[in-house]
Order: sequence, then structure tokens, then C-alpha cells
Amino acid sequence: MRKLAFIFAVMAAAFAATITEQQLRQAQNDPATWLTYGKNYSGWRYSELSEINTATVSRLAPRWIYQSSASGSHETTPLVFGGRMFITGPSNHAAALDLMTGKELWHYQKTPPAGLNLCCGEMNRGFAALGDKLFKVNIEATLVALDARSGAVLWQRQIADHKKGFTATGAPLVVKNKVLVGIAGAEFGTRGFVDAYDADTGERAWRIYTVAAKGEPGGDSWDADSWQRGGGSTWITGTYDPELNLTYWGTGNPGPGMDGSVRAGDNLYTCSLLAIDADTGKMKWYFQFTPHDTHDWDAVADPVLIDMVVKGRPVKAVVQANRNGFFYAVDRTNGKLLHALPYTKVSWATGIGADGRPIVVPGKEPSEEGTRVCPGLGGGHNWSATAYNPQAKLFYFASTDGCDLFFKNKQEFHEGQWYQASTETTIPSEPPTGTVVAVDPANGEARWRFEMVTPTTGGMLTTGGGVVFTGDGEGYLVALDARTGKALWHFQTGGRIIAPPITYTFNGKQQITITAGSSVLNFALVN
Amino acid sequence: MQAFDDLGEENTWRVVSFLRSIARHDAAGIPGDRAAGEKLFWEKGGCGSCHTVNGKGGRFGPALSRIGRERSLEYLRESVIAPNNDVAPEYASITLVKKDGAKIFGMGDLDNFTVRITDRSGNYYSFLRTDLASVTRDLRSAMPNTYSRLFTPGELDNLLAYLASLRGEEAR
Repeated sequence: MRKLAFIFAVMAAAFAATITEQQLRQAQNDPATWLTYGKNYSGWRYSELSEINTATVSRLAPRWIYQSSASGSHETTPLVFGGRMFITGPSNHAAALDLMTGKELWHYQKTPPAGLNLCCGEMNRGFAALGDKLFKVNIEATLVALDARSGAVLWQRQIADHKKGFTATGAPLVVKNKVLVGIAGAEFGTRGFVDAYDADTGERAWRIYTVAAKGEPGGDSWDADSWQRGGGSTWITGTYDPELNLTYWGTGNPGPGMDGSVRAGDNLYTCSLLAIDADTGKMKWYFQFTPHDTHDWDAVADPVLIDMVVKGRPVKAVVQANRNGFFYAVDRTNGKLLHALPYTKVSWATGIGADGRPIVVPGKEPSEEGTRVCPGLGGGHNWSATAYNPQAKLFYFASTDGCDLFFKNKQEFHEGQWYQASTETTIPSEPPTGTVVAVDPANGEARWRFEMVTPTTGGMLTTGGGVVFTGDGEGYLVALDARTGKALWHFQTGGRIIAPPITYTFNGKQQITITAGSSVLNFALVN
Repeated sequence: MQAFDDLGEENTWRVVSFLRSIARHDAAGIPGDRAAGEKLFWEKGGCGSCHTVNGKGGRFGPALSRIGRERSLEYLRESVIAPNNDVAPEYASITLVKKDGAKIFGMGDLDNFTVRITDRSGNYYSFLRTDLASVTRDLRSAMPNTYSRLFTPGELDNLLAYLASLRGEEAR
């Protein structure tokens, strides 16, 4: 009995690691862990680790594979701390894994309610952590807190009513003692928002809507009552600047997606970047990338925070590879445009003006007979995770290079039902290709491109070893030279890669982990 | 809204096939002589040199044993007279040149690092792209686009009647 008590004491000590606010602020300084969605609050997805580098990456080999019981699109960014890895999966699955073997330590699952109206599947993109709690959203628009040691549910809150079309897929973001979450559902005529919940109690602290109501600032950018169905989802995790105490979230398309005639105006604050006071939820500023969007170009891609020198002047910037085909750098203290350049083929605008508004080419609206527009509906860059390497001073992201035919049609709104008033098709003779793009964020110019036969779907990771890791739709985990884009190594995982890779150390050795298909694969160097 | 890119290329084509199957026409009522069309398929058209029907014929192109169940009459007509209008990715034409200069032409697919190809003789190859001098993919069909001239309108109706009758029954 005494021996058993000793074993429990050792287990408790081994898992004594709980995550503090200070650790989250300094997450970049701990290479052994991965504590938040973007590795650090700035969303860099960069690790100083260099054991796996341009010279050694060819010796990378799998150590273990975890086979998930969940089917569907696996898009998780795992968290790593306390000797364990924490992953989420589709259809409200989640698990803790042993870092040595990949063995499952606990499993959480909550069956989604029947009859969910979903635009895109029951995916989930990861946990957030604070103290000994893990936080995740469930697809039916709930937020749950789990005990990191056991997976037991500590509390659960309803974010919004899934019967009205709301769903939740993004990884939460912990700021101080609050859990920030976004929402999905713009395809069902919902009104988007960002919420903050108390990490201890689950009580909602604040909500900021992403669609301006009549009478509010920006409310006159909507025709009549169209704001009530205005969309503006927030389905990708934001970033946070502790010094400014601002959190940055991108917003999605207006509703209905492609029939803009029922919502005349700029449709604020859809397809925008919002700077939000993390304590109060009040908007400090906004920057709208695509006013009155009619091509479904959500602006939810990672808003990455970079301090850099622009035209000789030090600037606190936020950068984004926008789905509309342009790379943007914006002053994150005031929302003023620094520069914007196309990174792929763009036919709808000739450029971005100094005021940040696109210089629109007439005749590119969706039509009943179909209008050819580049980029296509998915972008450009869609949502997959981006990365910034402060050594190379380059920003990396995936681009789909191609065009689509955009159609519009009339559709009446019915609560909780599909409300896009549109469709699109690829052009059979013009299949899109893919590119990994490395952009110098200080001027927006592409430094190198790695061309792909098919659009890349995985996210990015970059390291102090001078490597960019990503995955593609064919199932390849790929290592590229961060400075040149040269392919250094690849491995066929056997499953489509949609998630971003992460890196950390275990027993002093650098690890690379990626989710492919329904499996989690872990890699390290072999001699 | 995010794109449906997580559906995957294969599943996307399955959806396309399903939608096309909804639009298919029953074989009954199609103008043309099925037996005459079968003769055209194997003789004048030479279709069987590339396509398999119920275990007979070449394997260079898509198998057609169930094509009448899977495709509408209009789609079949378009495929015969304008084969480039819709080419499934796995039937793209690929020309590769090995580092010793040897050239291989066939159909197959390629990804970011490898290429797989079947030549007209049915030989299958798989290569790392870094082991090749060049790889060229042509999204046009390898099928001749001369059938609208080769066949009279009546013969085309006969051929389509035959194709529409191929519903996989013999394979059961």
C-alpha cells in the first residue's frame, strides 16, 4: 500500500506542470513545450530548436504513430506540456497522448447532436490551456473545460444556438484569466462574434459582434436589416499583444455569400481584422480587406504580429495572407495600412490603395451565367496556419493559384438554413496549382516560391534550424530550406495533411509532430 | 466560409460522378442500333484498343463496362466528340524523360514528389521526380478528337446506344 502511494506521488509530481499566464506570455522561450495555438501569442509557429536543421533533416524518421478512432478532417494543433500531448479531433473527440509512445492516456468524446447544419464538417483545430485545465469548443457551439490530468469535464457553456446555424471549430485563445473563442456559421445567416469566458467559472465576460447593428458605428454599411444575417464568422484563432493588451481576430464573409444585392454597402466588419481590448471586448480599430465581399473571401487567416522596420521606421505590425490574393501589413497600434501586394494571380483588383481599399476591376461580381475570377473561392491563402521565422525574417504560407466561375442566385432566408445564394465551380481546363510562398513582411515581396502540383493544405512550422515544415494534400510531410525554398526532405504519411506541424523536445531530442489522415505521427532524428 | 478543399480530390470526383449519375438517361428510348454500335466500337472506332468492356479490350483508358449506368447520354456524346472537355485528373497524359534520355508516354498522375504512369502497352511505372530529367503533364485527353468526323451522325447514335446499354449486367 505504501508502495502504491509512492507511485501515485511520483505520478502527481511528474504531472505537476500547470500552465500559468506568465508561461503563456513567454511560450516562445520554452522549446520543450507547445502551449498555445500559434506557439506564441504573436502566432509565429517558430521554434528556436535547431537539432533538426538543413543538414540533418534527411535523417528524420517516424518514432510512433497514434491511430485516432475519429473519422473526418483532422486539423488539430497539438499542445505539449507536462510530459503529454493534447489533441482534438473531429466530431468532438479529444485525447491525451504519452510523449514516449503515443499511447492514449485518456479520451474525451461527446456525440454531436443530430441534424447539425454544417458548412464544412465537424472539424476542430485544438485546445487552449491554463492552470490544469484544457479548453476546447465542440461543434454544436459549446465551450468545455477539461481536467488535463484525466479528461474529465469541469464545466461546459453554450456559446450560441446551433439550431440557428452556429457552430464552433477553432482553438480557443487564453488571455490572462479569460478564454477567447470565435464562432462559425456565416453560411446560415448568423451574426458573428468573439466571446471571452472566465477560465475558472465559464461565465461569459464579454462579447463583441463582428457585424455592426443599425445605429452602431458601421451600421450604415448594411442595407435595411441585412446586418441581422450578416455573417462575419471568426473561425480561426486570434493573436494577442500583451504590451498593447489588444487581441487580433479576422472575420469571415458577409451573408449571403455571393448575392451582394441584398446587403448594399461595405458590410462592416466582415472580411476585416479587428483589434479588440482583451479586458473589455471593445474594438480599438478595424481594417477591412474586402469591402462588400461577394467571393467568400473570409479574412480569418492568422493575424501574425511582427515588429519590423518598414521604410526605415520601426513598426509594430500585424500581417496576414488574405484569401483575396493580397498580402497585407498593417500597423497594429492604429490599423493603418503599411503595404499590400498580390502573392498570387488576382483578377478582381488592380491593387490596394493607400487608404487600404482595393482598386476594384468592374465586372467581377458573381452572375447567373458565371463570372471567372482569380483567386477562386478558397483563395489564395485560405485558413491553414502560417509561420514567421525571425532569423530569416520571412513569413511563410500556402497559396492556391487558380480561378473559379462564381454564380449567384436568389435565396430567401430561413433561420438555421443554408443562406449563401451562390455557387462556384472550378474551371476544368484550369486546375489550380499550389505554392508555398515566403514573403518578406517588411515590403510584401515574395522572396521564394515552392511550386506544387496540387494546392498545399497543411499549415506551416519554421525553426531555428533553418527549416520550414508543411504538409500537402497528397499526404507528404515536407521540409524546405527556410531561406531558399529548396526541398530538403519528404515523407509519405499515407493520409491527407490539413493540420500544421509542431515541434518540441522530449528527453532532450527535437521532435516533429503532424496529424495526417486520422493519425498523429511523431518524428525525430535517427543516426 | 471555408472551401470544401478538405473533401479531397477523389471524393470530389465521387460527388461529381454521383451528380452525373442522377442526370443519366435510361437506355430505353435512345435512338440508334445497339448491335451496330457494338460493331463500330470494336472495329471502325477501334475503341476497344484502349477501353475494356466486360474484361475484353485495352486497359489504357477508363473501363466502360458500367458506363451507361454512370454517365448521361449527353455526357457520353460529348466525351466521344469532344474528349478534352472533361478529363479526370488520373487520365491526364504524361510524358516523362529519364535521365538516360529514354522517353515514356502514358496516362497516370503525379504529385509533388512522384509520378505514376501506365503506357499504351499496359506497363506500369513509378518514379521519384528527382530521378527524372523532366515530367510534362498534358490535361488534354489521349483519346483522339476525330470521332465527329470519323462517324456519320447515324453511326454516332449507334455507338451511343451501345455505350448507354453498358450497365455492368454481364459482370454480375
